[in-house]
Amino acid sequence: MKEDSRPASSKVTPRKLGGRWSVVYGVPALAVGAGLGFFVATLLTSRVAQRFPEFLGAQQEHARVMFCYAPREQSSGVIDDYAKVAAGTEDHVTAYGVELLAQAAVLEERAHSDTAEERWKKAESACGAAGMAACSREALRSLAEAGCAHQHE
Amino acid sequence: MKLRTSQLFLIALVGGGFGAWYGVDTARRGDAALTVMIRGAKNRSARAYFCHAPPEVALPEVQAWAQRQSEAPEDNAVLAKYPRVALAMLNERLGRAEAANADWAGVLRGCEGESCKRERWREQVQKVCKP
Repeated sequence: MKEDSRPASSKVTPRKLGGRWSVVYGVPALAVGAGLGFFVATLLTSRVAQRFPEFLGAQQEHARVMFCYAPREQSSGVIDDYAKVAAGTEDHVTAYGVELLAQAAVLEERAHSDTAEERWKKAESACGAAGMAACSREALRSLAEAGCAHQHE
Repeated sequence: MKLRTSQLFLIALVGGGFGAWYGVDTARRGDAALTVMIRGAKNRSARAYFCHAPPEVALPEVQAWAQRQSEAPEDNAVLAKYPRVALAMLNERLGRAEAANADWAGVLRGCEGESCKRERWREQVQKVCKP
């Protein structure tokens, strides 16, 4: 048998091997434990998922009051901002997002803007993607204006 | 020394403890941030009612805004009085002088100098309606 000719400092001793095993298994065990602990704790204690609809509801209320009562120059900005945020969170393909897009299209139409057609198409496409029953322009216009009826109730 | 399964399990458990502590803290901070966002959206909505809607439609919304403010006041003492001033102005517009005076009394309690003038408060609050 050939003798190990490496210097003593680079020899793999049982002690060194044990240290490496500690790192190889210990660190992942710690990381997996921490990850699982974090996941389970947030899942059990966070109420964000349940309360997010309340946040969207408050924004919807704001968008409605702006759409129904505020001058177009002011309401367009608010509704466009909300629609952009909704697109970022995939909420544009929900009833909330479709209502915002319909409001934006109605406002553009009232302003005789060139972009009104584009806005309508966007609203119709989101409405289809959201699986809503009625996605015609008239249905979307009614949806936007129905929000105003809520304000008077 | 090679790690035994029981020791690995213990390490994972310690990691889980840290993870859970951080998870609970993160969830708490997330909930608090969402509460602030909901409150902000509701207040923006109430301001929009005050600025643009007819007074009779706006009144319940502004009352709710004032209620929220009294339960958890803003840090800024001036901003904290806005809903009460808005309420006083709406009551004036609706011809409810008694209710308006009661709201003004609340706004002007403990005031000094310029801040005792109703007109000054009206101007301040009306500013939030401008784009």
